[in-house]
Amino acid sequence: MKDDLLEIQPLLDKFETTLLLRMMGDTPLVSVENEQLFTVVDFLKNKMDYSLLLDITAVDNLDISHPTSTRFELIYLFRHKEFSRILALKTAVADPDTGVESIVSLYEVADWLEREVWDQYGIVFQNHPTLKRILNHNEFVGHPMRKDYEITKGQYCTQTQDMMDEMKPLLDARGLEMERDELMILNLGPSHPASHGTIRTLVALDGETIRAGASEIGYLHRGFEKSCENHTYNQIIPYTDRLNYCSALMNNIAFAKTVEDMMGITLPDRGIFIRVILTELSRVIDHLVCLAAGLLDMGAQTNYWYLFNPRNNAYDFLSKLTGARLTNSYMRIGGMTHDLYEGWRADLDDVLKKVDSGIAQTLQMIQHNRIYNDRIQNVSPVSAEQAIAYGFTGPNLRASGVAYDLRFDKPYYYYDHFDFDLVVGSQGDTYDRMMVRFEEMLQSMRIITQAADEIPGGEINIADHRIVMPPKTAVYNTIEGMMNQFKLVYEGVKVPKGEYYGAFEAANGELGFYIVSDGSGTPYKVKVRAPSFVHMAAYPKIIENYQVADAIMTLGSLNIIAGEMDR
Amino acid sequence: MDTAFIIETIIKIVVILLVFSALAGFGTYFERKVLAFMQRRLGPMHVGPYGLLQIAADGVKLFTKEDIVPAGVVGPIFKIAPVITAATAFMAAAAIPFLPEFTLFGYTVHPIVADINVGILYILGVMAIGLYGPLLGGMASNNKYSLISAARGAAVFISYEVVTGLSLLAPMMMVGSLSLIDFNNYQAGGIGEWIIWSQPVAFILFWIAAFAETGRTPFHLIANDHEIIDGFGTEYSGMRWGLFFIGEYANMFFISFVMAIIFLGGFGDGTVLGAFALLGKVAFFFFFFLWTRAAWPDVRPDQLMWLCWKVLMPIAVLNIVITGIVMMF
Amino acid sequence: MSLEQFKDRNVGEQNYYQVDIADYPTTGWGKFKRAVDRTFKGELFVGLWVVMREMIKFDIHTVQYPKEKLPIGPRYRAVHEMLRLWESDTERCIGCGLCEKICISDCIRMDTRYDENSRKEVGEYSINLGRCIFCGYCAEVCPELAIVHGPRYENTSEQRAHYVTFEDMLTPIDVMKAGAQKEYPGFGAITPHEDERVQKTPLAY
Repeated sequence: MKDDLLEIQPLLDKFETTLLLRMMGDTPLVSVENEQLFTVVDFLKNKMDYSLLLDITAVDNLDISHPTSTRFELIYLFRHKEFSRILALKTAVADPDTGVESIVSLYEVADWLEREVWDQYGIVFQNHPTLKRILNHNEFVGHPMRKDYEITKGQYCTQTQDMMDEMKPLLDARGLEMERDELMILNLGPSHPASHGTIRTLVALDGETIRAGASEIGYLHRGFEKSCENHTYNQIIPYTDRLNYCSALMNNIAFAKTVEDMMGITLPDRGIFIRVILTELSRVIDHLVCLAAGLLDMGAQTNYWYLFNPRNNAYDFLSKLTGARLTNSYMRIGGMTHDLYEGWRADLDDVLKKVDSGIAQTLQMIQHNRIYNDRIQNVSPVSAEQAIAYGFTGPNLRASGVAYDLRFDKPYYYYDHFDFDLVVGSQGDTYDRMMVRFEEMLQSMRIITQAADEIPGGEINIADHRIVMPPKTAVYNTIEGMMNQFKLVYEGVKVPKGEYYGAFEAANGELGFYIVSDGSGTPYKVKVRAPSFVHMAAYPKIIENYQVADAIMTLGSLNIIAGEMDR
Repeated sequence: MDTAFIIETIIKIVVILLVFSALAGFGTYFERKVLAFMQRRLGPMHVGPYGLLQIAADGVKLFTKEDIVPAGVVGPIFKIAPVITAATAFMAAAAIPFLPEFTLFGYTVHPIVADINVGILYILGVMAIGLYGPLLGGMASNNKYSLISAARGAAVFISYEVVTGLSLLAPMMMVGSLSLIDFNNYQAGGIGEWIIWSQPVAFILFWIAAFAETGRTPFHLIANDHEIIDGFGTEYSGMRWGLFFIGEYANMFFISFVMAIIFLGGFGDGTVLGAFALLGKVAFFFFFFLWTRAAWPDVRPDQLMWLCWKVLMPIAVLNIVITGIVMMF
Repeated sequence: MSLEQFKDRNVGEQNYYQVDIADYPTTGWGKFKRAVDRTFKGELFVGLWVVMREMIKFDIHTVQYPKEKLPIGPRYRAVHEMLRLWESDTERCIGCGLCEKICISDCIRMDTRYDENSRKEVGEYSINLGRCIFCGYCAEVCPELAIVHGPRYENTSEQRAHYVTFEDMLTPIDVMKAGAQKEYPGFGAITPHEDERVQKTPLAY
């Protein structure tokens, strides 16, 4: 605690109005005045090296049990340049219609993050370039995440927006005019064979070169965060399955781990090892999807099949283990539903063998293939500084040469004990992004084999039955078991009051959950820090001056999963 | 011009039209099956034994599908564009000898519709006109993706005409004639006489240009599914699209015939064995088209242009100069 | 591209694996050399060979559904089943309502009343399969192991809301008499060595 105070002491000294509210685990939560926000953030970025903006979100304090100064509070999460420290800033917003100063000039990723806060909560950001709705339809009236917006109130919106209001300033900034320069406006998506999920990008083409682009998302917005406020923590787990649907188990584990860290509980070792095995297996199948779809977009149809066939085997394994192929919902707060089945090791080894041979065949076909190399080398390179300004994390950031992996910087679940390599690229172009994923799959398989060899016996769940469901015989035979069961079903797992940000190294990047709890069994607020959302924000900027064919490949290489992006 | 000749020509035309339309259908079936086996799946299996009736089912579907002409297209051009593609593909077949000449009931049959003395020039010229199909069709559809595809198509087809012409110039210099029958007779002495041994560079160049002319992977960027949906064919439905399709597959077959006859010896000395050998060679080229579709990704349009003008054309010119020099001594 | 800039961060002893980067030639001479090099190396043919090998091996992955069906594991979560007691062949469901309470998509409805012996009896019970997400939570919380998931995954319906009632799901009596009712080993099942985990009171006997 002392060290953390030492680290943020320069901030507290420079600005008298800031004060340390509390510690959320390892993260200091500092409150700041509205008017001073911009200067404080500027100080943080330039003098204290908090160079990665993780998330901006807001809390609506209408229904909260303890009194607060204002109705809305904004939370900013920053990660330090050395990646192991996070700082959270909280500011009380006096009036949402005047709002606060936008920090877009300091961090480029704040563009879309602030648009989302405006869309969901209605807090204005002054001097923001395009403060428009991003997740909801542009005809939507009201701000859905506010507590006085009923969840059952749906609206029927029909008109598409032509997005020229975003395109015109972009063209003017580049000194281009539609008529004089003979630009053609083209819609890439939302129903396009190569846009993964429903994503719409409006591009201004000069021949085949893209001069300016603007994206519209929100086609798959299902209101995950609002639904979380009506369900207990365990009931949210199936919803998390559907966030990043290519690696469903990893979302379950990330959410369960965040809540467990909030409650201060640790699983027994066997539970941790099972979670590590399943996390790495999910990472492998997620990367298989990204690479197969990317190669398909290039026209190499066969590699798609060679990479998806082992995925089928992995799904068979998961179906035998959890009961479903994709929507596993296997994890619970405090453990998991049941243990591994008899004969799991042979099936897992078979899956790994098939994945290995699929990767080997694909690499044989493409690695030295000049067509493949010419297609994706030097396409949309992102330098390391740019990548951090854009908020990239995960394989996209590692491809740009920045060695940031939560499993190394802040190891959890015994990752510092396993022997594997950190895969780093150099140029940050599409080639690097795809090859980094190939290598990461091989490293993940190393981890899986080591974990499966060393897995201890013992319990998989913690023994506290106020959190974990009691065994069925206890429910049937003992009164304590019956009471625990009923309380857990009716009221849910009680999480202590407070807020917490938990980060997890997901397949796409840093998957973070910011949870505000009011002491009951349903969360007060859950915010998902989705890596795909942040990567999509950078997409229109990095495809400029490349061709349409390149833009398609870049979209594939960023691994945008619409379920996670739109929530 | 006696009537027997006219009747014979008409019969030949009808036979060629029917056979190659059916073959285009079979071509799609083989493509689906071969691609499927290479990708560890089965392809059409349900319709008929091993999916053979899939061709008939597809044909019926194309014929009976509603013919949608979108509002906003330029009517007459939109309707005539597929016809151009299919027609020029078949018109090019007029100068290709499909089999060695044989006698039937004492009557010699030359299975070539018109043995003109500018055979190969006519074929290349008519195939070049085939570029108007995608170009006009893409431009007449009221669709930006078709426009992009039409622009790409025009650029690619015209550029690769240069390469085909230049690469064929060297064998022409050696054979001394433009008629395909003469090409065949030049190589009639057996496998050692094939032009591929004396003109390997021209063979490779023409083969690459054939990929570009027919629009097959790795140069399949005119109707590239992943970027421009179906290119010029996006707005076409039913038999209009079917005509584009037949044109593409017929083109593939005819180019395979041309390559087999010019470089690989054709039907040799005219025996039955030679005829089967010719069909085998055509089958190999067709299979190679399918093989590369399974194996290789696509090239970007500007890379394709770079390949044509900066790599293939200089090599073709160099080849001609060297052939000329060698032939002088 | 050196790795020095990564090595002086105090993040532990792990190894760095650098992704293979062939040099991107920038000069004209470099590009010409690369073009000539690529022309004479037969790397494209490796791809052709891999694909041909797969075609010859003929190791087909397709399962020709519906003639062949993939086997599903015992824990598979498809349409629900209601089980009966082994001892008395009556239904296990006691009408406690936990499944209705926990259901995430709010798709179970039941109607209970007290019968003539003042015991709880379930009147109507239905699950809306159109809303059900087959998460397995109802099976997990049922204290009687009454509602479980079954293997019936082929349901087609003409409308979105497709209801199964209690009678559809209950084990038929002839199956019961033949002793053929299967217990469900998935979510909510009794785990192996469970009796050892039950904490008994000090006066257990």
